Amino acid sequence: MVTGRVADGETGESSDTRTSQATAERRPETHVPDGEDPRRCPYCGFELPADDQYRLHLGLNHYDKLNDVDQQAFRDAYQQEEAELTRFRIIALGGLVVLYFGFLLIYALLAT
Amino acid sequence: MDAGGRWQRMGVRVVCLVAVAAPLVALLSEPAIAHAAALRGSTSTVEVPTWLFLTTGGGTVGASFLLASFVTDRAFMRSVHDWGFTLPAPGRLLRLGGQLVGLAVLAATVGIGYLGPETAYRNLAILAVWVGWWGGYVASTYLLGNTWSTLNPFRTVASLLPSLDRSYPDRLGAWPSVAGLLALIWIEVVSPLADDPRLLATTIVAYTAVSGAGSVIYGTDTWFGRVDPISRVFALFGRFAPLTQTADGLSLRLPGGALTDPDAVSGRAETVFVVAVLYVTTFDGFVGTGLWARLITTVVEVGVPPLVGYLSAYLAGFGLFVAAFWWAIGLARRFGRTYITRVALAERFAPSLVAIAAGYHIAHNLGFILGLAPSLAVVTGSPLSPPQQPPVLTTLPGWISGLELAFVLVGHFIAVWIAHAAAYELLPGRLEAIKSQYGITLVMIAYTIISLWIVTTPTVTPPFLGGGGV
Repeated sequence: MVTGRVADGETGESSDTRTSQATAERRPETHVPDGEDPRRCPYCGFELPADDQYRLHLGLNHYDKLNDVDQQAFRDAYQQEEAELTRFRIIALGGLVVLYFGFLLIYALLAT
Repeated sequence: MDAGGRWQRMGVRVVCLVAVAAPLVALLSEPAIAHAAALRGSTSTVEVPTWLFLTTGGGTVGASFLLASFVTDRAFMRSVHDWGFTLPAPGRLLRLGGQLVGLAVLAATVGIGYLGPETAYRNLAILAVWVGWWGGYVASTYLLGNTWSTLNPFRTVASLLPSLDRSYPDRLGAWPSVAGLLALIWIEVVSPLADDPRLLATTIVAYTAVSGAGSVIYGTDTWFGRVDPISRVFALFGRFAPLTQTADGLSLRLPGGALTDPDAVSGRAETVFVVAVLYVTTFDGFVGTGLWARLITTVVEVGVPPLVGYLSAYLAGFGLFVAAFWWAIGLARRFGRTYITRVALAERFAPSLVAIAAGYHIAHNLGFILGLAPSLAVVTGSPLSPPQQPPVLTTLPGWISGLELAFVLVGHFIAVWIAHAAAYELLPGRLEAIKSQYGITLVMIAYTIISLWIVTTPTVTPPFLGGGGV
């Protein structure tokens, strides 16, 4: 699914036929646990567990085929994700700082 | 989504993991001072406790994951991996020349193996196979490009034979290669293949016979493309290499770029094969450590036959590696919130391990190759009457050992990046793509610590085997 068509989806370069062929061939195998109700992509049949992921998948892989409402929904989901990413980045930065200064301190204490 | 609970559970898990990992690191760091240059008996030491040295290695790999997590632009990642251009392909004449060279080296190795001097370090067969081929040539398959499909003398011999062209059973997949690779390295570890030129020559003849028979049954392309473990290892390493032969010519890419292709590995058996490649080089190093010498001595004292001890450890270790990898993929499936099967996830994450295997191979062999290269050159000059003491480089400059450690770490950095790219190609959510790498990153950190320890710990002769290599 995603693979080579991701970049194309974002820049909107690929033709519809190429996208659908490629996604059909490369869609990774999925397994849905019993009792779950997946969202299924109408263009390539890829199953996704949550609505936000479904919106993102549509936008990343089938952007050209979406109507204005779905395109807007994709952009919203992408923006929404941006906020969560920012939170993660702050934690990651904190982790890097802890790693760096942690080791610096230990080296200062132990390596003579 | 109940984010608070998730983070809490994750925190508990991290604490458990640290609780398990800390004694492991402590166990590995028994000698208080790390021998950062102890590969071949060098004496320089680093005045840092071993546990600190090992956790620093693990920490840098963790840091590289955190740094990679800042890159979330798919188009950019793709442009990095697709960077490259095409060069004209070498002609047919060069190909024929390569085949002839391969055949000549095979004939010389077997011939001198039987006829040359019996002393290992004076015999061309031993030096050509272990220094020239397993050390130097293997390094060329991941540093430059995989030329084995052309040079492979076993294939050239097999292609002269008629073939029945039976269809290869698809359900076997890459499993025979997994078994073949484990068997080859098992023979290499427990038999004096690196000491006895006659035995080495006989093994090569047997290998030629087996691959010839396989090619007669299934055809050379099927045998060397799907079954032969050595060809498969080189094909994987060739994926890491910057140069690849394509229909249009030689294509040049960044090292590791081709490992992000969706077809790099396919099927459960091939992912296990990648883990096996990483595992066998590790085990080869592990039996040369003092820890293993003490362990096996204790086990043998209890009354277990030495070979049973070696085999159990070999298979148990492999099981452990596969289980750790599979656990990491399970975490990827959970944290990535995806329905993609474990096998499909493993297919994309496994190629990252090839970069680690390449980095580890060069770290493990660089000092060895440089030290014995003069021997190889002199003995090649007069294979039947080599000097009594072929020249060796006994003292390598100190920075060589630093270079070895750098290779281990660079291999891991590239691996972290490849896993990062794979996650972004599989999962639509950017945050899920980052979280899906938690497991594989933890596995990589653990492996960095283990491999740094093996590379830097002083090597001892594995007990009970009656041979210690060149």
